[in-house]
Amino acid sequence: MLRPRVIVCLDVKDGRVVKGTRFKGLRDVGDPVELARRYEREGADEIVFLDISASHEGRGTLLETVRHTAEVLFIPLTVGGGVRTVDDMDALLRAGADKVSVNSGAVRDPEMLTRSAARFGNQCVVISIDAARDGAHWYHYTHGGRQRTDLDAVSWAQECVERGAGEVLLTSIDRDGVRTGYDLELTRAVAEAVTVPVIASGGAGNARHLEEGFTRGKAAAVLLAGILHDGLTTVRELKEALSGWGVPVRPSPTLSDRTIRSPAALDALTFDGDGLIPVVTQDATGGAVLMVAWANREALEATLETGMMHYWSRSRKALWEKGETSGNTQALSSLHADCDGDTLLARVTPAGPACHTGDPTCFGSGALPLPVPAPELGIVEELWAVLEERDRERPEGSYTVRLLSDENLRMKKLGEETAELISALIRGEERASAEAADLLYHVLVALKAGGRSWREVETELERRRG
Amino acid sequence: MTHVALFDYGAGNLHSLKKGIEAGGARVTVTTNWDEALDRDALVLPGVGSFGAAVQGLGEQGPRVRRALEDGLPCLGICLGMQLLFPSSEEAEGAGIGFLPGRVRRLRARTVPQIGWNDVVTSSDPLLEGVGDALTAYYANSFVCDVESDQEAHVVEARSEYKGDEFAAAVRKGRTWGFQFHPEKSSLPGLRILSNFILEVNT
Repeated sequence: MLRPRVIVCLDVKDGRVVKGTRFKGLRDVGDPVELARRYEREGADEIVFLDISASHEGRGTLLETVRHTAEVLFIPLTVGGGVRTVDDMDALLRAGADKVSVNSGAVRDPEMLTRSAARFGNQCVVISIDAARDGAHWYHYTHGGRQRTDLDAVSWAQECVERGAGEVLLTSIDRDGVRTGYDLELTRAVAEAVTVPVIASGGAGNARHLEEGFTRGKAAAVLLAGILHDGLTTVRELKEALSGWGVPVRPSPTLSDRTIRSPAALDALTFDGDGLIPVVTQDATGGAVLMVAWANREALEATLETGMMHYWSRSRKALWEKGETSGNTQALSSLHADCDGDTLLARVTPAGPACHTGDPTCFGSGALPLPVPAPELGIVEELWAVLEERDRERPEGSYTVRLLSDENLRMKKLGEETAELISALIRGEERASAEAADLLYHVLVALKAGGRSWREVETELERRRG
Repeated sequence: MTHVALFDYGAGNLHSLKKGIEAGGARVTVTTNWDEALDRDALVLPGVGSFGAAVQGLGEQGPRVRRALEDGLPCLGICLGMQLLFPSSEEAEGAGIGFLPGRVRRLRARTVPQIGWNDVVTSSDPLLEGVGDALTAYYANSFVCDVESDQEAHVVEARSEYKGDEFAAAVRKGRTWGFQFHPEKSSLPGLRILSNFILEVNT
């Protein structure tokens, strides 16, 4: 089954991701390469870069950004914004885009869709439609939503698909940045009019809006940006909610092998917008939680390479080898990611106190683990110990010794006790538990005489538990 | 270090695939030269462009590539690269490598290409080791391969279904594997497939 897609859009200007509403008021939200990677780790199915640089230099920067992104991103990347010609498209595909979206360029020269589809295949060609409602119709806008055309959005979508577009990226200008949900009527009108996937865009404020986009809007994919960049939710949370409502989205990745052994395994981690990840540091032998600190990729690479804990100091903005001045180093025993790869556990052997106050842990002595009491023996183990003693010392008059030395009697009792238990159970009698105790005793004696041990039985049961 | 040749038919994005193979622990040379392509530890046929363009890139070299694969050169064909392992395709005139028996046909659904993440029913193969029981992989294709059975030792390794049309998601014969989806666009499980391939090349 083809899964409904959740696509994350990054508006890129001069090599940085910016956000306002797409059509006005911008602020910097981060590095496009890092953000794209982070959204992949959260479970995004695809990334869209919309270039909103106006300048010529901005275009060159965009190609660089696409190149860097394609080298580290392992989900599809669509790039759009300012694509005027088939050659523009070629340059983006060569730089590493998997698909290219076109808006104004197709209005000026609709034939370019046909030529691009013939050259690159229609799976590469995405028509981007920015639509606003006016009366009973939606009209298509160009130039980042500033210029209205006479094109009816629905028929324009149909024409573009006939000419070779393989997908429609449909943004409602009325809803963009408003977070009240997609324009479902618009989305459905276009989705029912064309034979290619439609991506709903503009207006996503919560998971329910995404669900409506798929069900009522009939979108094959939903696109979102602002609510993620503002940290209101994550792709993981949204997908969990959608799954809960029966929308068969691709689940976000969980790390199957959570032990980090090499720098390559760091690729599976999710670093935050500043490139950092929290590290919980634990004493590998005592089990005490020593401290919590931050690391970036460089710190983790240094840790894996040297075997000594390195962190990132947020106050000094510098790489920090634990103990480099105090001598209280921490030798790495093992490094583990949590299930969704956004927190690390470092198990270490400390050379001295973890805390700068001189306390062994940053959480004070109250956080040291309590001594673990020796486990009490279970009654079966205790009984087994008695059987072993009887077998060793063979005291006279002991029933157990008699059983141990008479195989016929042992087997006969095993059969009798089994029959008595069955009969008590069938009749619903209270003595069933006493019969079961008798049987268990005879089972243990028979095991003992047979040269087997109770421990072997436990081991077998543990193995079956898996 | 394992040295992999990534053949370039002359169109499209090879960056992610190159980096994905490198992450698996190999050195990658992108080449348009068959002498070089067949002289490395393994050959990767990427999945961008059209069958016609790929056939042109193959030129007169089809029989030679086929012999190299029969002689045990490890090979990984992705999407179009998998289709190129067959004798021909409905998409365009011209002969493929013809290493695998069968035909390449258009998907039967009204809506093609198939674009997006689709479920893959896997089987046990070293290349699918560790990808998990529920593999979902990224496809962007209009054509699929119908593998013919014959006496030769080949097996269909995995299957997918698109709007009621079931097709081979992966094939294997000897040391040659074909994947109809894009491992380099299928996130962590896809990268695992690429690194498994490098492990297999080394054994």
